[in-house]
Amino acid sequence: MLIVDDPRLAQILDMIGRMAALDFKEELPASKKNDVLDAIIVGLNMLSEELQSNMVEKSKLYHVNTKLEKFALTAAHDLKSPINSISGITSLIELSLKSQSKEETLQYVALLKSTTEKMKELVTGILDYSRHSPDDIELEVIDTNQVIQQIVRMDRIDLFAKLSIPQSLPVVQFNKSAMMQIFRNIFSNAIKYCDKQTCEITVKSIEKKDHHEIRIIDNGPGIAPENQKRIFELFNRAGTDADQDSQGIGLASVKSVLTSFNQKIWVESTPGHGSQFCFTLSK
Amino acid sequence: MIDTEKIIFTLLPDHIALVECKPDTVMTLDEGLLSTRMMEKLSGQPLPILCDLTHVVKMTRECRTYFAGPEHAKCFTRCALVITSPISRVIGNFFLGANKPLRPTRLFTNKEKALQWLKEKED
Repeated sequence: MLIVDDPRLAQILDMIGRMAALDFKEELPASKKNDVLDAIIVGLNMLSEELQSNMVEKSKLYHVNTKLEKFALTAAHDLKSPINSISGITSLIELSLKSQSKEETLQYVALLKSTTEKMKELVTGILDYSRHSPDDIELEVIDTNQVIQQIVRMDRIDLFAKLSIPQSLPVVQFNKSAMMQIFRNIFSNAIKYCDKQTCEITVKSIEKKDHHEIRIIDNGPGIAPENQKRIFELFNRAGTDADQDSQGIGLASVKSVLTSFNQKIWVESTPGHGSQFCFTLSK
Repeated sequence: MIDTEKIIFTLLPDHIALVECKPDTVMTLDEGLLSTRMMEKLSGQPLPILCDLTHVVKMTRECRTYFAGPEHAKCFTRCALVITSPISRVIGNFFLGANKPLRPTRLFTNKEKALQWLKEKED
């Protein structure tokens, strides 16, 4: 028989109240009686734990869903723009063919080519960004110096920038293509956005307790404080003139790659004094 | 028979594993993992289990999830849970309702009936 003045009854009622308010933090202590009240307490505790876990899952799903919705909307919007251009250019080509102006037609065809090229880049960028799931990551021993030298050779960075690496960079466990994607994106941004006659890029490494901190320093225009977090968001364009050619995918991909390796990336910058793109690489 | 800190595992003559939890047992993921290992040690092949939850006072979420999952399902064919105390009754019902084990699992308040069900199924 239940005893109404059993203090556990009051605890149970309070717990139900807290659960109704979606507060699942507290666990009630069961006595050693192993009676019906103890059974209710154990049941409530399990229910509370289960609901808490479901709420966490729900919140994660909501977050992922919101990101997916934004991704789909922005991707569709960004793809719509070159498609509209292509549609307009084909009408112009049609007109120029009617007026038999070969020169004009060739101009429009060139424009068509460049627009489809941009669209191709955009689609490739979206694919690169989406493809990077932690499941397809293969770890290998990578010499950061060698990766950079390979990028310099392949992309002819030396033609566009003065690259300086004052010290030896670390050898780490990472994925080579992922590391190439990171450096390639940051180097190409430094070159693209540079407002000086000579683009200067310095790569440094600082040894910390459990990781290396890599810093890529450029002499570009710098990034305003309000844009320093936004630049890592997908399809974000920070608002400079050079951004008109940007897809807003590069740094988001870099962040996505590093996050999938549980590494961090951030930027330190004062407008007018260049930027330092910093990221961690585990030892 | 294997006697561990919280659980006793016994192989009954009719190839049924008897799992008995000691008084005031709190079942955590460690006990879940131990159970799989001990069941494998007991016979080396999946067996029907007669599991007496009477003295269990708590089973963590991780443990319930593990017991309902594929890893533990490898070591038994079906499971009869004996629930003769109020707490074991709520744990057993919660386990069946929320965790939905992969192998046939039923609750019994009588050990003989539980054994009978395990043997019936075995035939």
